Amino acid sequence: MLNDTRSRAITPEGVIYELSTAGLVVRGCAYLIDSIIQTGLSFTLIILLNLFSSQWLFALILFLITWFYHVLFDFLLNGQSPGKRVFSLRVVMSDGSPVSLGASFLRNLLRFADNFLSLNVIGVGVMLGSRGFKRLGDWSADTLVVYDAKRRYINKRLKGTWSTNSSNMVLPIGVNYEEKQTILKFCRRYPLLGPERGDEICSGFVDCISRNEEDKKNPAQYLLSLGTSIIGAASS
Amino acid sequence: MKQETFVRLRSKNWNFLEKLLLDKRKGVRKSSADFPDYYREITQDLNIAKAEAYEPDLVDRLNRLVLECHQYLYGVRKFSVKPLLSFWSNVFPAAVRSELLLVIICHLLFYGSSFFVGFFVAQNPESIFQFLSESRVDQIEEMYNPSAEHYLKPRNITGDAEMFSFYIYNNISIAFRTFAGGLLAGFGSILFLCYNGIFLGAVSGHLINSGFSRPFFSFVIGHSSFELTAIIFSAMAGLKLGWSLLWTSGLKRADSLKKAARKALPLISGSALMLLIAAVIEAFWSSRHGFPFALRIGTGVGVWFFLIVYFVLAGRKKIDF
Repeated sequence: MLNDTRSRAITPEGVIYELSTAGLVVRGCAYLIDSIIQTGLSFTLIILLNLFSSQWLFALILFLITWFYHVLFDFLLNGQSPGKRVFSLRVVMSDGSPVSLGASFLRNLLRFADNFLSLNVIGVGVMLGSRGFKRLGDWSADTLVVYDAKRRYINKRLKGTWSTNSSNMVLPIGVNYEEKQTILKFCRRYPLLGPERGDEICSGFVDCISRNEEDKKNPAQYLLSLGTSIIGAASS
Repeated sequence: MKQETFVRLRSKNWNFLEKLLLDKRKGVRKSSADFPDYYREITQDLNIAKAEAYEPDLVDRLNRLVLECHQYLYGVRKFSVKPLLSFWSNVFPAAVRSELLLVIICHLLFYGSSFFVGFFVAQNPESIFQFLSESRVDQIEEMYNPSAEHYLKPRNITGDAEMFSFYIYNNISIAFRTFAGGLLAGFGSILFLCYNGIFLGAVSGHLINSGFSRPFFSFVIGHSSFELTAIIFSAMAGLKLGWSLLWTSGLKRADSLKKAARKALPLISGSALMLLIAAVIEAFWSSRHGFPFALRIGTGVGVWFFLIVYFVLAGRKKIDF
């Protein structure tokens, strides 16, 4: 797959699984929320600093907030700072394993290079110009920001399988992996599309793969029965 | 095997695993004896689903399960003191020694610029205002003027702690910025290094001219070894990162950067810790002008000597803890 938003990781067990890397906008939003939280904490500290006499402790905490806020949360919450939690993002190493302390430290130090002069030009440029939406800190520390496993995209309207009246069809020869997956995705979305739109979408494809004139008149139903035969559901 | 058969056979296990993972770490720990088996089974299921070209939603669900289990299985976090001790005794000095060329270059840059400017200002006393503003010069003179009223009054412990946290905030931020600036083709690091060198040189030259050299040098001799060396090391780490993008020695730029960052990490961590020590010395020792001059100079030189010996000798034979 060629998209930027999918990254492959090989586990020691020999399994390849996919990580969905997070794009520029959502990372920017998470960073915005984190900055707001950091600024809020700093302001409360400055106010407290003026009220109490033990200023040195607050200055130390201010320092820690400025440089170690993200590192602390990466360590405690396994790669999620509060801003990232809002958007279900997570920092992982590029092979999918949890982020190590050294890597987190490195990528957060290099934030200063990424938002050079607070313009963020370098960070944004590197993210857009390279694979996987990695900024300079990510390239150095070999980390990725991915969508969390817990983020379940459930389209409530698509619950349940589609139903078809026709019997199982035999798949035409030469339908490859990608096309099978496309047929199944179409079948999954068919309840949302409706009959006319469904026919409109798949008529061209069915013209190519089917020899039967009957099937070409009802292309959507043809694909639905193909899908049923692919997944092996019993015919109704 | 058709998809429906597969789902029928295996979905009990998947639902069980999903319920287990709802309890997060506690759930995993409760079933820790069987968890590796569950993980292996789910990886096999994912392989089958992908090989047989089952529905993308099913593959996605299994993918998510594998991802979550992988995170729990490989995310063991243990904190032990041994790596910390080994960092100080082996890793850090060895890392410094392995970059000998960069050490020499950065020291030359820093001390070269500071000595040059120092001599220049010492010879031409008016030129100080080309480097610093008038108010800044007054501020610095006030700090080291022996006839100032704060001079011999010992600071109380809270005042010391305030200066300590100020030094932490100031110096470590400078070191981190120097390091990060190095990524911009090394220019940021060189800029910060030369800027600090010039500033130091100008201040020293001016204070020698004003006749405050005795309080000034007795103040800086204590912590300068740790502080200046740490700033130079952070610039070194930054240069290493920046130049790895330009001179990749046959690797891809991304891999070259990764390799250099792995080597630069001990340098910047050690540099931050050295600045911590420098802040302690600076806040609690250096400003005690009431102590005898010879004692302060003596300890300062001793610390310099110790630091040089540490970086030359430590870590040559690996100590196992």
